[in-house]
Amino acid sequence: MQLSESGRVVTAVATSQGVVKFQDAGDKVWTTATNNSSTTPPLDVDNLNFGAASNGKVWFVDGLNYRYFDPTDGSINDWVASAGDLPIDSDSRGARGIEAWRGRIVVFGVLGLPYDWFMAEIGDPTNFDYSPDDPPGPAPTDAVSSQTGPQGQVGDVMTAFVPFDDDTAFMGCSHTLYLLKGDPQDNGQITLITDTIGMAFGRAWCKSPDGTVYFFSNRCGLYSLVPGSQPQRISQSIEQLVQDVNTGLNRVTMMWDDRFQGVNVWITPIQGAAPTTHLFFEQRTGAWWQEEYDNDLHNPLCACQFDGNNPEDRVVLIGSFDGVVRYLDPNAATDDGRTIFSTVAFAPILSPGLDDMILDEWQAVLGEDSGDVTWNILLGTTAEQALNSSVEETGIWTAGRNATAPVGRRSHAIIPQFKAEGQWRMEECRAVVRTGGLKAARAKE
Amino acid sequence: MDKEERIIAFPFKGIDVSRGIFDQREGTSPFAVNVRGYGPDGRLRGGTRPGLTPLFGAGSTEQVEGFHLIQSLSVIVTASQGATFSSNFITVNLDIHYSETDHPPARDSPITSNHIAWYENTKPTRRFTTEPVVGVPDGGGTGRGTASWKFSTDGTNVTLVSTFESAGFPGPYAHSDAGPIQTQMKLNTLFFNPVTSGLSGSWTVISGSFIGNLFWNFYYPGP
Repeated sequence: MQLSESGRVVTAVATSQGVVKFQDAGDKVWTTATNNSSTTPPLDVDNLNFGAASNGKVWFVDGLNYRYFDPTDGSINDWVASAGDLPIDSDSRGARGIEAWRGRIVVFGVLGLPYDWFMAEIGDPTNFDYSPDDPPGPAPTDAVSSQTGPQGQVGDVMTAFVPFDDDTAFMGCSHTLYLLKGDPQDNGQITLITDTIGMAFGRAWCKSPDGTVYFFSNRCGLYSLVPGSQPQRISQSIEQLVQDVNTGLNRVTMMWDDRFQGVNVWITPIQGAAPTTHLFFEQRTGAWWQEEYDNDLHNPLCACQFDGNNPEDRVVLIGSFDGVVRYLDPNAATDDGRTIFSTVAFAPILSPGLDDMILDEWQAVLGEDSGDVTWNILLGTTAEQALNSSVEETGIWTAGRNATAPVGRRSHAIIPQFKAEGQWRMEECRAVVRTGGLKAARAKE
Repeated sequence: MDKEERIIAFPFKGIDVSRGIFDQREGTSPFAVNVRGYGPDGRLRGGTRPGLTPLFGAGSTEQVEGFHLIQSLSVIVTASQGATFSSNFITVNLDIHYSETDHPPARDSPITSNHIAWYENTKPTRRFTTEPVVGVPDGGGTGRGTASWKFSTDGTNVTLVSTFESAGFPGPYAHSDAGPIQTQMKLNTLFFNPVTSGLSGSWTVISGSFIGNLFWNFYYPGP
């Protein structure tokens, strides 16, 4: 066991090929959980699954099986109801979604019961008895479901359940969004927030420490959400980059990154490793960034926050196609040995009078710890043409203050660009420009 | 037309493809991949994004279940008894004085630190610094000083030795930290009985001069 000054042990649990493995902090290998379940492997091989931690165990659903991992003896076991029944449909299919909320385990997404949600008794994930005999009727802590509670079904296919705080949760559906206020077994109410925005399936949402929920909608927009208000679209500046995502063929996973104070949005094709573009939302600046991994096998399929006691253990873990669990490492200059190819185009240099611009020279100061950057100058008779043009001038910036680079190029639109194959940091950059004069402005090129 | 100097700022407001490129919103980029505003050092200056490292360390190829995709990741937190203190530590009241005698004005530089936890086999356990000590500026001559120290503790007998070692001067030494080592001062190994409390020693200059601070590093090898 790990000894910890904070009196806790953090254990990562991963599933692959239906097998459950775990790793206590500090271990350098995965340990196979002892399979006490009724099947081998304990979980379905063909589907992604979800786990939720509650009462010292991790509870798993995969659409077919109900299992739980017990870290005290490192075992995976059948999740059997001690009272009532775990939800299954007429074809014996189980839940595909699971979350923990106010001491309850919440499951949903049974294929034959797509509008239903089921909550175990508070403090007992095995108790699904919705109608205990003890008079005068159900207690506020008893199990409750959409089939037994007065709230009923949400009327739309449930795709996500977002625990917000002890009194509030969001229910994401195919094209609607609901607010669950209060415990359903204790006069809680479900109210419609919007019938025009839904949530993508799974964990296409995350929550920041300031209480903002971010989610990927059914129509491929990205939103922020706080209780009491409508979802706010935050992806206006990048709509074209996300509007064509096929949410049926891609797994959208979102995860808050506390180190970088932003939201990772991973959009990964699930039918095989393939090139894709992910997004990162920098909360402090409101900036959207595109991210790509050189190795398609690194594209994330699942993620979790690993909140260990050591500084290097407080990271976001991602699981990918090649079976290796990795973390977002602030000090890593590569993606597990693969080059990080980066590009940034600066805003075009233009004249307000539609004149030609002349870039005489420019100069950059990079961070003292920066790697080399290739600078390019793109030219065009329009800004759009410049962005898509080939490189007209190029050079190398190195760490620290660089000598002024003469350029002497003229065009209507001039776009400076940085490209690099490794880590680099920018400090500042300046350019000396002038207009080509009014005569040039009238010229037809 | 007159030349104009422009600042080419990193597009801290991120990618914006919502407008014509000619009308690019200030502080945004029409195209960027694998860059961010905030760097790993927490500074807003622009650069590449952070990379990926295997959970078990750089170069590790440990897979969950062979070359198969990972279906889910979870974290479970359980309680532990918490850290226990090492039994091999003592608390020491340490009082060091350094006196420079060769180069007037002579002065006394007290360096006092009380109630220091000394852990077994942890080194250097503490680093003590004098006020700047000026020796012979031109590098000639010999600096000379004496130091005295006292320890007291309520533990068992311990041995305290300095551990700073450098080429040519193996063994316990104090040294000057002003650029290249300009002087080496041998520090006596101390044996003391903390029950009786109070012990002092002395050191002698071997050679050289010094400008700057003197440092002592002490190491408690355990009872």
